[in-house]
Amino acid sequence: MSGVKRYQNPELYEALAAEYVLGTLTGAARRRFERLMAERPYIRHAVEIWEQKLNPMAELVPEAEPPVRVWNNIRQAIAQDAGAATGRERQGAGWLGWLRRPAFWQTTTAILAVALGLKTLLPLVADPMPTLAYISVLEGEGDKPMAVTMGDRKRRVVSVRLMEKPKLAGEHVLELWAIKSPDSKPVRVGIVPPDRKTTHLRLSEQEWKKMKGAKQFAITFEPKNRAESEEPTGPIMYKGKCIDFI
Amino acid sequence: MQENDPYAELLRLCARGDEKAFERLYQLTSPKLFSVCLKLMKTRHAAEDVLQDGFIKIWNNAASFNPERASAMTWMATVVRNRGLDVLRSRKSRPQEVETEYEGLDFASSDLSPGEMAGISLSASRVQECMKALQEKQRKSILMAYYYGYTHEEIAARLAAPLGTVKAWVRRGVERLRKCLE
Repeated sequence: MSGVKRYQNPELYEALAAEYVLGTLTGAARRRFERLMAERPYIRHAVEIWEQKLNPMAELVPEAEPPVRVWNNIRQAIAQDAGAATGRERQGAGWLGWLRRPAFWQTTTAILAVALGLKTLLPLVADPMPTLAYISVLEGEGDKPMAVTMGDRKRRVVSVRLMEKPKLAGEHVLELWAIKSPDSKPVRVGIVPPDRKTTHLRLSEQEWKKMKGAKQFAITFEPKNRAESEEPTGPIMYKGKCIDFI
Repeated sequence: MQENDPYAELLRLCARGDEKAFERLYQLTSPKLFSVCLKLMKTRHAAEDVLQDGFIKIWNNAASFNPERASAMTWMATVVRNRGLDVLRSRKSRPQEVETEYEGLDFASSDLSPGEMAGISLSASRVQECMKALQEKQRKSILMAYYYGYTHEEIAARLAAPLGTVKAWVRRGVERLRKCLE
Protein backbone atom coordinates (compact mmCIF):
# COMPACT_ATOMS: atom_id res chain seq x y z
CA MET A 1 0.00 0.00 0.00
CA SER A 2 1.38 3.42 -0.82
CA GLY A 3 0.54 7.10 -1.02
CA VAL A 4 -2.93 8.29 -0.26
CA LYS A 5 -4.45 4.80 -0.02
CA ARG A 6 -2.19 4.05 2.92
CA TYR A 7 -4.29 6.37 5.04
CA GLN A 8 -7.49 4.54 4.27
CA ASN A 9 -6.28 1.58 6.28
CA PRO A 10 -8.03 1.93 9.68
CA GLU A 11 -5.30 0.06 11.57
CA LEU A 12 -2.70 2.45 10.26
CA TYR A 13 -4.55 5.73 10.75
CA GLU A 14 -5.83 4.72 14.17
CA ALA A 15 -2.30 3.91 15.30
CA LEU A 16 -1.09 7.23 13.87
CA ALA A 17 -3.97 9.03 15.58
CA ALA A 18 -2.90 7.56 18.94
CA GLU A 19 0.71 8.63 18.45
CA TYR A 20 -0.46 12.05 17.28
CA VAL A 21 -2.41 12.53 20.53
CA LEU A 22 0.46 11.13 22.62
CA GLY A 23 2.83 13.54 20.87
CA THR A 24 5.26 10.91 19.58
CA LEU A 25 4.35 11.65 15.98
CA THR A 26 6.86 14.39 15.16
CA GLY A 27 8.40 16.44 12.38
CA ALA A 28 7.21 16.07 8.80
CA ALA A 29 5.06 13.03 9.72
CA ARG A 30 3.14 15.12 12.25
CA ARG A 31 2.57 17.94 9.76
CA ARG A 32 1.46 15.49 7.07
CA PHE A 33 -0.98 13.90 9.51
CA GLU A 34 -2.37 17.33 10.42
CA ARG A 35 -3.04 18.03 6.77
CA LEU A 36 -4.84 14.71 6.42
CA MET A 37 -6.84 15.44 9.53
CA ALA A 38 -8.01 18.71 8.03
CA GLU A 39 -9.03 17.00 4.79
CA ARG A 40 -10.59 13.79 6.08
CA PRO A 41 -13.27 13.75 8.75
CA TYR A 42 -12.71 10.05 9.55
CA ILE A 43 -9.09 10.76 10.51
CA ARG A 44 -10.14 13.75 12.59
CA HIS A 45 -12.69 11.46 14.24
CA ALA A 46 -10.04 8.85 15.06
CA VAL A 47 -7.98 11.59 16.72
CA GLU A 48 -10.96 12.74 18.76
CA ILE A 49 -11.57 9.19 19.98
CA TRP A 50 -7.99 8.96 21.20
CA GLU A 51 -8.22 12.39 22.83
CA GLN A 52 -11.27 11.19 24.72
CA LYS A 53 -9.45 8.01 25.76
CA LEU A 54 -6.11 9.48 26.82
CA ASN A 55 -6.82 12.99 28.03
CA PRO A 56 -8.66 11.96 31.22
CA MET A 57 -5.07 11.17 32.34
CA ALA A 58 -4.63 14.92 32.84
CA GLU A 59 -6.73 14.52 36.00
CA LEU A 60 -4.05 12.38 37.64
CA VAL A 61 -1.39 15.09 37.98
CA PRO A 62 -0.86 16.81 41.34
CA GLU A 63 -2.21 20.36 41.31
CA ALA A 64 0.01 23.43 40.80
CA GLU A 65 -1.41 26.89 41.34
CA PRO A 66 -0.66 29.22 38.40
CA PRO A 67 0.48 32.80 39.18
CA VAL A 68 -2.23 35.47 39.30
CA ARG A 69 -0.81 37.22 36.22
CA VAL A 70 -2.01 34.38 33.98
CA TRP A 71 -5.64 35.02 34.89
CA ASN A 72 -5.13 38.77 34.58
CA ASN A 73 -3.77 38.31 31.04
CA ILE A 74 -6.65 36.01 30.09
CA ARG A 75 -9.22 38.45 31.45
CA GLN A 76 -7.60 41.32 29.58
CA ALA A 77 -7.47 39.38 26.30
CA ILE A 78 -11.12 38.47 26.59
CA ALA A 79 -12.17 42.00 27.45
CA GLN A 80 -10.25 43.26 24.42
CA ASP A 81 -11.83 40.64 22.20
CA ALA A 82 -15.27 41.55 23.36
CA GLY A 83 -14.50 45.23 23.12
CA ALA A 84 -16.07 45.49 26.55
CA ALA A 85 -14.22 47.78 28.89
CA THR A 86 -16.32 46.64 31.81
CA GLY A 87 -15.79 43.01 30.94
CA ARG A 88 -19.39 42.11 31.70
CA GLU A 89 -21.07 43.57 28.67
CA ARG A 90 -19.79 41.03 26.21
CA GLN A 91 -23.00 40.93 24.28
CA GLY A 92 -23.99 44.54 24.31
CA ALA A 93 -20.61 46.00 23.51
CA GLY A 94 -19.84 46.78 19.92
CA TRP A 95 -16.65 45.95 18.16
CA LEU A 96 -16.64 48.30 15.26
CA GLY A 97 -15.31 51.29 17.12
CA TRP A 98 -12.43 51.58 14.75
CA LEU A 99 -14.92 52.41 12.05
CA ARG A 100 -15.34 55.70 13.83
CA ARG A 101 -11.90 56.78 12.77
CA PRO A 102 -12.65 59.33 10.09
CA ALA A 103 -10.28 58.20 7.34
CA PHE A 104 -11.13 54.56 7.74
CA TRP A 105 -14.80 55.29 8.00
CA GLN A 106 -14.84 57.32 4.82
CA THR A 107 -13.00 54.79 2.74
CA THR A 108 -14.01 51.40 4.01
CA THR A 109 -17.62 52.00 4.75
CA ALA A 110 -18.00 53.74 1.43
CA ILE A 111 -16.61 50.63 -0.26
CA LEU A 112 -18.86 48.50 1.89
CA ALA A 113 -21.95 50.52 1.23
CA VAL A 114 -21.40 50.52 -2.49
CA ALA A 115 -20.02 47.05 -2.97
CA LEU A 116 -22.28 45.24 -0.60
CA GLY A 117 -25.37 47.36 -0.56
CA LEU A 118 -25.15 47.89 3.16
CA LYS A 119 -27.61 50.54 4.11
CA THR A 120 -27.86 49.97 7.82
CA LEU A 121 -25.18 51.52 9.94
CA LEU A 122 -23.79 49.30 12.61
CA PRO A 123 -23.67 50.14 16.30
CA LEU A 124 -20.43 51.93 16.94
CA VAL A 125 -18.45 51.92 20.16
CA ALA A 126 -14.82 52.24 21.14
CA ASP A 127 -12.51 49.32 20.52
CA PRO A 128 -8.77 48.92 19.91
CA MET A 129 -7.76 49.07 16.27
CA PRO A 130 -7.56 45.63 14.70
CA THR A 131 -5.45 44.80 11.64
CA LEU A 132 -8.23 44.31 9.22
CA ALA A 133 -7.80 41.46 6.75
CA TYR A 134 -11.33 40.55 5.72
CA ILE A 135 -14.69 42.18 5.92
CA SER A 136 -17.96 40.80 4.67
CA VAL A 137 -21.64 41.51 5.08
CA LEU A 138 -23.67 38.31 4.94
CA GLU A 139 -27.15 38.58 3.57
CA GLY A 140 -30.11 36.33 4.14
CA GLU A 141 -33.40 36.05 2.36
CA GLY A 142 -34.37 39.15 0.40
CA ASP A 143 -30.78 40.47 0.51
CA LYS A 144 -31.30 41.51 4.11
CA PRO A 145 -27.98 41.99 5.99
CA MET A 146 -28.00 39.29 8.68
CA ALA A 147 -24.39 39.17 9.86
CA VAL A 148 -21.10 41.00 9.50
CA THR A 149 -17.81 39.13 9.53
CA MET A 150 -14.41 40.64 10.01
CA GLY A 151 -10.97 39.06 10.16
CA ASP A 152 -8.26 40.62 12.32
CA ARG A 153 -4.94 39.44 10.98
CA LYS A 154 -2.87 40.55 13.97
CA ARG A 155 -4.79 38.47 16.46
CA ARG A 156 -6.03 35.87 13.96
CA VAL A 157 -9.56 36.45 15.16
CA VAL A 158 -12.62 36.26 12.97
CA SER A 159 -15.49 38.16 14.56
CA VAL A 160 -19.08 37.58 13.61
CA ARG A 161 -21.78 40.05 14.52
CA LEU A 162 -25.35 38.84 14.09
CA MET A 163 -27.70 41.63 13.10
CA GLU A 164 -30.68 39.78 14.48
CA LYS A 165 -31.27 36.53 16.26
CA PRO A 166 -31.63 33.77 13.68
CA LYS A 167 -34.81 31.73 13.63
CA LEU A 168 -33.65 28.17 14.16
CA ALA A 169 -35.73 25.04 14.39
CA GLY A 170 -34.70 22.87 17.36
CA GLU A 171 -31.12 22.48 18.52
CA HIS A 172 -29.07 24.13 15.82
CA VAL A 173 -25.99 26.29 15.66
CA LEU A 174 -24.59 28.49 12.95
CA GLU A 175 -21.37 27.52 11.26
CA LEU A 176 -19.19 29.96 9.37
CA TRP A 177 -17.40 28.98 6.16
CA ALA A 178 -14.93 30.76 3.90
CA ILE A 179 -15.39 30.15 0.18
CA LYS A 180 -12.49 30.71 -2.20
CA SER A 181 -14.19 29.90 -5.50
CA PRO A 182 -17.49 28.37 -6.62
CA ASP A 183 -15.74 25.04 -7.30
CA SER A 184 -13.63 24.80 -4.17
CA LYS A 185 -14.67 23.12 -0.95
CA PRO A 186 -15.74 25.59 1.75
CA VAL A 187 -13.17 26.09 4.50
CA ARG A 188 -14.63 25.70 7.98
CA VAL A 189 -14.01 28.76 10.15
CA GLY A 190 -16.00 27.88 13.28
CA ILE A 191 -19.22 27.67 15.20
CA VAL A 192 -21.28 30.79 15.84
CA PRO A 193 -23.67 30.36 18.78
CA PRO A 194 -27.05 31.80 17.75
CA ASP A 195 -27.64 33.39 21.18
CA ARG A 196 -24.57 35.56 21.03
CA LYS A 197 -24.67 38.88 19.31
CA THR A 198 -20.94 38.81 18.70
CA THR A 199 -18.69 35.77 18.50
CA HIS A 200 -14.93 35.83 18.23
CA LEU A 201 -13.29 32.82 16.66
CA ARG A 202 -9.60 32.64 17.38
CA LEU A 203 -7.81 30.68 14.67
CA SER A 204 -4.50 28.87 14.69
CA GLU A 205 -1.90 29.98 12.19
CA GLN A 206 -2.74 26.95 10.07
CA GLU A 207 -6.47 27.69 10.17
CA TRP A 208 -5.82 31.30 9.24
CA LYS A 209 -3.70 30.24 6.27
CA LYS A 210 -6.40 27.87 5.05
CA MET A 211 -8.84 30.75 4.93
CA LYS A 212 -6.48 32.94 2.87
CA GLY A 213 -7.92 34.08 -0.43
CA ALA A 214 -11.55 33.83 0.71
CA LYS A 215 -13.90 35.51 -1.75
CA GLN A 216 -17.10 34.88 0.18
CA PHE A 217 -18.21 34.01 3.67
CA ALA A 218 -21.27 31.87 4.26
CA ILE A 219 -23.22 30.66 7.27
CA THR A 220 -25.04 27.34 7.38
CA PHE A 221 -27.39 26.01 10.05
CA GLU A 222 -26.05 22.76 11.49
CA PRO A 223 -27.34 20.34 14.14
CA LYS A 224 -25.89 21.34 17.51
CA ASN A 225 -24.31 18.04 18.48
CA ARG A 226 -23.09 16.77 15.15
CA ALA A 227 -19.50 15.54 14.97
CA GLU A 228 -17.14 18.31 13.96
CA SER A 229 -16.87 18.09 10.22
CA GLU A 230 -14.97 19.81 7.48
CA GLU A 231 -18.04 19.92 5.29
CA PRO A 232 -21.33 21.74 5.70
CA THR A 233 -24.45 19.60 5.86
CA GLY A 234 -27.08 22.33 6.13
CA PRO A 235 -28.05 24.78 3.39
CA ILE A 236 -26.38 28.18 3.12
CA MET A 237 -28.58 30.61 5.02
CA TYR A 238 -26.51 33.78 4.83
CA LYS A 239 -23.72 34.67 2.48
CA GLY A 240 -21.79 37.65 1.29
CA LYS A 241 -18.85 38.79 -0.77
CA CYS A 242 -15.66 39.36 1.07
CA ILE A 243 -13.33 42.29 0.75
CA ASP A 244 -9.81 41.09 1.24
CA PHE A 245 -7.24 43.55 2.57
CA ILE A 246 -4.31 41.14 2.54
CA MET B 1 -19.51 11.35 29.45
CA GLN B 2 -19.76 11.69 33.20
CA GLU B 3 -23.17 11.58 34.74
CA ASN B 4 -22.27 14.36 37.12
CA ASP B 5 -19.84 16.49 35.25
CA PRO B 6 -19.03 19.38 37.58
CA TYR B 7 -17.67 21.65 34.88
CA ALA B 8 -20.05 21.00 31.98
CA GLU B 9 -22.60 23.52 33.21
CA LEU B 10 -19.91 26.18 33.66
CA LEU B 11 -18.73 25.56 30.09
CA ARG B 12 -22.28 25.86 28.83
CA LEU B 13 -22.55 29.24 30.54
CA CYS B 14 -19.21 30.28 29.01
CA ALA B 15 -20.64 29.54 25.57
CA ARG B 16 -23.31 32.12 26.36
CA GLY B 17 -20.73 34.71 27.32
CA ASP B 18 -20.96 34.40 31.13
CA GLU B 19 -17.61 35.72 32.35
CA LYS B 20 -18.31 34.93 36.02
CA ALA B 21 -18.80 31.27 35.08
CA PHE B 22 -15.53 31.38 33.15
CA GLU B 23 -13.68 32.80 36.16
CA ARG B 24 -15.11 30.06 38.37
CA LEU B 25 -14.14 27.43 35.81
CA TYR B 26 -10.60 28.83 35.72
CA GLN B 27 -10.32 28.81 39.51
CA LEU B 28 -11.46 25.20 39.70
CA THR B 29 -9.52 23.68 36.83
CA SER B 30 -6.40 25.79 36.27
CA PRO B 31 -4.31 24.08 39.05
CA LYS B 32 -4.60 20.70 37.27
CA LEU B 33 -4.15 22.18 33.82
CA PHE B 34 -1.18 24.32 34.89
CA SER B 35 0.44 21.21 36.30
CA VAL B 36 -0.09 19.50 32.93
CA CYS B 37 1.53 22.51 31.20
CA LEU B 38 4.51 22.58 33.58
CA LYS B 39 5.37 18.94 32.95
CA LEU B 40 4.88 19.26 29.22
CA MET B 41 6.66 22.55 28.63
CA LYS B 42 9.50 22.32 31.22
CA THR B 43 9.73 26.07 31.87
CA ARG B 44 7.29 28.17 33.88
CA HIS B 45 7.25 30.88 31.26
CA ALA B 46 6.24 28.52 28.45
CA ALA B 47 3.74 26.75 30.74
CA GLU B 48 2.07 30.06 31.63
CA ASP B 49 1.82 31.03 27.95
CA VAL B 50 0.25 27.71 27.04
CA LEU B 51 -2.22 27.85 29.94
CA GLN B 52 -3.17 31.39 28.94
CA ASP B 53 -3.64 30.58 25.23
CA GLY B 54 -5.49 27.41 26.15
CA PHE B 55 -8.01 29.19 28.37
CA ILE B 56 -8.63 31.91 25.78
CA LYS B 57 -9.38 29.12 23.32
CA ILE B 58 -11.65 27.41 25.87
CA TRP B 59 -13.61 30.66 26.21
CA ASN B 60 -13.82 31.28 22.48
CA ASN B 61 -14.74 27.70 21.60
CA ALA B 62 -16.92 26.78 24.58
CA ALA B 63 -19.87 26.42 22.21
CA SER B 64 -18.17 23.51 20.46
CA PHE B 65 -17.93 21.44 23.67
CA ASN B 66 -20.20 18.41 23.39
CA PRO B 67 -20.95 16.78 26.78
CA GLU B 68 -22.02 13.56 25.06
CA ARG B 69 -18.56 12.95 23.70
CA ALA B 70 -16.24 13.78 26.59
CA SER B 71 -16.22 15.27 30.08
CA ALA B 72 -15.60 19.00 30.33
CA MET B 73 -12.23 18.39 32.01
CA THR B 74 -11.14 16.04 29.22
CA TRP B 75 -12.19 18.59 26.61
CA MET B 76 -10.31 21.38 28.37
CA ALA B 77 -7.23 19.19 28.83
CA THR B 78 -7.38 18.43 25.10
CA VAL B 79 -7.47 22.12 24.20
CA VAL B 80 -4.61 23.01 26.55
CA ARG B 81 -2.44 19.99 25.76
CA ASN B 82 -2.89 20.44 21.99
CA ARG B 83 -1.70 24.01 22.35
CA GLY B 84 1.34 22.79 24.31
CA LEU B 85 2.16 20.11 21.75
CA ASP B 86 1.84 22.63 18.90
CA VAL B 87 4.41 24.84 20.60
CA LEU B 88 6.72 21.92 21.46
CA ARG B 89 6.59 20.35 18.04
CA SER B 90 7.12 23.60 16.17
CA ARG B 91 10.36 24.26 18.07
CA LYS B 92 13.58 23.38 16.30
CA SER B 93 15.08 22.13 19.56
CA ARG B 94 14.22 21.83 23.22
CA PRO B 95 15.15 24.88 25.28
CA GLN B 96 18.44 24.36 27.07
CA GLU B 97 17.16 25.75 30.34
CA VAL B 98 14.84 23.31 31.99
CA GLU B 99 13.18 24.53 35.16
CA THR B 100 10.83 21.64 35.80
CA GLU B 101 12.78 18.49 36.43
CA TYR B 102 11.58 15.05 35.47
CA GLU B 103 9.51 14.05 38.48
CA GLY B 104 8.91 10.42 37.65
CA LEU B 105 5.58 8.84 36.92
CA ASP B 106 4.42 7.73 40.36
CA PHE B 107 1.52 10.17 40.34
CA ALA B 108 0.05 8.36 37.34
CA SER B 109 0.70 4.81 38.49
CA SER B 110 0.24 4.74 42.26
CA ASP B 111 -2.94 3.53 43.87
CA LEU B 112 -5.20 6.40 44.73
CA SER B 113 -6.58 6.97 48.21
CA PRO B 114 -10.38 6.93 48.51
CA GLY B 115 -10.29 10.73 48.77
CA GLU B 116 -8.30 11.03 45.57
CA MET B 117 -10.53 8.49 43.84
CA ALA B 118 -13.53 10.67 44.58
CA GLY B 119 -11.89 13.59 42.81
CA ILE B 120 -11.26 11.88 39.48
CA SER B 121 -13.61 10.77 36.76
CA LEU B 122 -14.49 7.22 35.80
CA SER B 123 -12.71 7.69 32.48
CA ALA B 124 -9.52 8.67 34.32
CA SER B 125 -9.58 5.67 36.63
CA ARG B 126 -10.35 3.41 33.67
CA VAL B 127 -7.36 4.60 31.66
CA GLN B 128 -5.20 4.34 34.76
CA GLU B 129 -6.24 0.71 35.26
CA CYS B 130 -5.47 -0.08 31.62
CA MET B 131 -2.05 1.58 31.96
CA LYS B 132 -1.29 -0.69 34.91
CA ALA B 133 -2.02 -3.71 32.74
CA LEU B 134 0.77 -2.78 30.29
CA GLN B 135 4.29 -4.10 30.49
CA GLU B 136 6.45 -1.77 32.54
CA LYS B 137 8.52 -0.43 29.63
CA GLN B 138 5.44 0.11 27.49
CA ARG B 139 3.73 1.98 30.31
CA LYS B 140 6.77 4.12 31.10
CA SER B 141 7.29 5.07 27.45
CA ILE B 142 3.66 6.06 26.97
CA LEU B 143 3.45 8.02 30.21
CA MET B 144 6.73 9.86 29.47
CA ALA B 145 5.38 10.85 26.07
CA TYR B 146 1.99 11.86 27.45
CA TYR B 147 3.03 13.84 30.51
CA TYR B 148 6.50 15.09 29.60
CA GLY B 149 6.03 15.47 25.87
CA TYR B 150 9.09 13.30 25.20
CA THR B 151 9.77 12.15 21.65
CA HIS B 152 10.81 8.56 20.87
CA GLU B 153 14.43 9.76 20.88
CA GLU B 154 14.13 11.41 24.29
CA ILE B 155 12.48 8.32 25.78
CA ALA B 156 15.24 6.15 24.32
CA ALA B 157 17.88 8.37 25.92
CA ARG B 158 16.15 8.38 29.32
CA LEU B 159 15.50 4.64 29.39
CA ALA B 160 18.88 3.83 27.78
CA ALA B 161 17.20 1.70 25.14
CA PRO B 162 17.58 1.53 21.35
CA LEU B 163 15.26 3.82 19.39
CA GLY B 164 13.61 0.96 17.49
CA THR B 165 12.82 -0.82 20.75
CA VAL B 166 11.20 2.29 22.22
CA LYS B 167 9.08 2.75 19.09
CA ALA B 168 7.91 -0.84 19.43
CA TRP B 169 7.10 -0.36 23.14
CA VAL B 170 4.96 2.66 22.32
CA ARG B 171 3.27 1.00 19.37
CA ARG B 172 2.45 -2.21 21.23
CA GLY B 173 1.47 -0.34 24.37
CA VAL B 174 -0.97 1.80 22.39
CA GLU B 175 -2.44 -1.30 20.76
CA ARG B 176 -3.00 -2.98 24.14
CA LEU B 177 -4.47 0.20 25.54
CA ARG B 178 -6.90 0.41 22.65
CA LYS B 179 -8.16 -3.12 23.35
CA CYS B 180 -8.38 -2.48 27.08
CA LEU B 181 -10.32 0.76 26.63
CA GLU B 182 -12.75 -0.58 24.04
